[in-house]
Amino acid sequence: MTNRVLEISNLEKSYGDHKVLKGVSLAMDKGDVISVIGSSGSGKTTLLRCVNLLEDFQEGVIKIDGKEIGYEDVKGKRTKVSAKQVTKDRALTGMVFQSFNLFPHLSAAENITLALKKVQKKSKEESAEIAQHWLERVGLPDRGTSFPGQLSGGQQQRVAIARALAMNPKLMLFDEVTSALDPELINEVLDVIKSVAADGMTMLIVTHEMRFAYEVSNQVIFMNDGLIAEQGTPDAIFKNASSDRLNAFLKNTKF
Amino acid sequence: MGYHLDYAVIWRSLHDLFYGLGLDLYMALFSVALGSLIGLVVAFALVSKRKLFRVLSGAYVTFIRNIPLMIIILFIYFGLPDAGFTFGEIPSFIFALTIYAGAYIAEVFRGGILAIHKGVGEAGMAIGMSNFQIIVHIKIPLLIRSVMPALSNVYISLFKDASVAAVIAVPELTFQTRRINLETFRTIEAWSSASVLYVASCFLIAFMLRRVERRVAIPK
Amino acid sequence: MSTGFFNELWLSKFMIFRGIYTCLFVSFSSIVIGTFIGMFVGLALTYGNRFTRFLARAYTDIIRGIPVLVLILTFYFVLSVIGINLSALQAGITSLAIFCSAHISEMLRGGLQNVPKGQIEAAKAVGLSFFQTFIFVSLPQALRQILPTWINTAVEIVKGSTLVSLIGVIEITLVMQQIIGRNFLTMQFYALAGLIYFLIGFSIERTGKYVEKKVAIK
Repeated sequence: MTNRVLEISNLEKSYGDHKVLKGVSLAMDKGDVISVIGSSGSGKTTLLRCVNLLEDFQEGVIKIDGKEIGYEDVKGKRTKVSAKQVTKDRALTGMVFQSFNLFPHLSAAENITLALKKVQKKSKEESAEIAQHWLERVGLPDRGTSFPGQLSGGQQQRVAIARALAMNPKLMLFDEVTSALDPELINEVLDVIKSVAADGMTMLIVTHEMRFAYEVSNQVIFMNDGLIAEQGTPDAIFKNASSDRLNAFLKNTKF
Repeated sequence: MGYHLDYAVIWRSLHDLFYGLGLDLYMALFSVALGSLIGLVVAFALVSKRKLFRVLSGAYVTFIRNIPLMIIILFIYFGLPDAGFTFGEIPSFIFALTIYAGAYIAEVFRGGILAIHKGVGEAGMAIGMSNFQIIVHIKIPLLIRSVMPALSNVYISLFKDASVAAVIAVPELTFQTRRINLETFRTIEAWSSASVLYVASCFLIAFMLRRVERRVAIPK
Repeated sequence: MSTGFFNELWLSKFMIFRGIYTCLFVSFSSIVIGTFIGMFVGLALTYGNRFTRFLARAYTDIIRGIPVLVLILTFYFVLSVIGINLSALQAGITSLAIFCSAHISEMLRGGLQNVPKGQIEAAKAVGLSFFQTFIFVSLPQALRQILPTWINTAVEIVKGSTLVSLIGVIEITLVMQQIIGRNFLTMQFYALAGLIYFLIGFSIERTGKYVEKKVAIK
């Protein structure tokens, strides 16, 4: 039980009248790699953003390492935690975005060191060392001084991954990280993610790359209309899909 | 026509003209610096989540942008003493130009803030930065770099606006030129010289600002 | 404000109306004339040969480098010396129009050059002449694009028209100074002037926004 990294129970989220998540429950142990698939609008990105507290949610509990994040019980009332606590809770997870979101005015290394220095209060030297370590880890040892605008999309996304990993998160969240990339750049990013998974990092991955999901995950979740419609091993999901909806979805995606 | 160009008078008054130009630059620089600070704060208020901030800052910008600088300076210099606030000519003008500048600069910054990709702020949040840290370390540096070209234009425009100080007899370039014109009747010489000085200054300022722009530009 | 102010306001209402009328007349004439001249300069700037481009560029940059106040005083004083006799009103309108034209020309060039190259090529490919491409493809898009800036320029001209009070044109600012000279209600009447200008500028801005919405490409 001490191995439980993420526990989501009965998560509900709506924008106005529109309910995006209708009660999602999910548990992840240390080292789990779960891929989330499903058509757009099924709520998978929202699920990820809730875990990173980039979105508020109305119902349910998200626990990381056994501790609830984002909300707390104050005299029996569900209350949002302070902005400061949100910031702290957020630091438990690392998020990589579809559109990279590197800081364009900072070099690759500075993108990584910024939060190390400002959030973790590490020294300049230590931050630089960590940045270099992670740049090497994502295969960009000599691009530390390059600015985002000087890097290819694939390289930018690898820097973004390094930036998130450098914060030493308990859980990594990947939100369609290859969707904005040219086809020939997708694999270099997926390879980096695979190698990080091999190191034992716990990861929740929203993706459209079915083959990648099949290869990298030990569990796959198929989301439909704000709910987890199917959950199982990659083989169970991709090879022995039982439900009609999942079959229909898989038929329309290339493997 | 018995008019012969004679720039000798201008040569003799060159010192006055340059003094006036210096005064223009001084007043403009002062106001631009203060106005930029005001503009930055107001811009963040303009895009704030709080309605009160938005309303107040919006009123300031809309109001000031639609009132002529000359009216603002007349009000401050001649009007405010009635209410017990008396300033000298130059402080009055700097005061007026600063208020004026703040509104224009705020608009520029506002555009810049809106142009910053939302994801950049989210990325800051995702790595655990506070709202304040995101503004200081990400949004403001990014903002200043991206709005620099637009800001340059406003700065040059404000330098030219410093000429309005002549209205309250600040001895800046336009005032000096008018005095020389009236004292010597060398009308064409006086005004052509002033124009040359203004145009040359604008080019020089533009040139320097362009260098700054290049220095701070986000590498591509 | 005291009752004295409203008394004085009532007494000077016709003066103020005349001032507003003059302000609007000066501004409107300057914008119309300035836009007309600016269009030609802008076209020369965009499509001219080397020589005309150079001339148009020099005109635009020099005028934009001179403060409006200096333009006004220069036209007022210099023209009479070289034998062109213009009234203060005419000199004021001329200088504001010239100021306006330089801004319009730069604006138009920007608008025209922002029309994507591919469209121009597409127009050529379907056999439109240079002139037809300009009229039916480039200009309509450029005009839409420059509308907001044009509105800003119009407001700047209205604000700039205060400066013609310095050469004796009896517009709002000078009227206020005359009234203040009589009753010494300095703050009140300058505040009133500010309010009037605000209302004029604000109306222009709003109308502009409305037109912008109307002609926007959906």
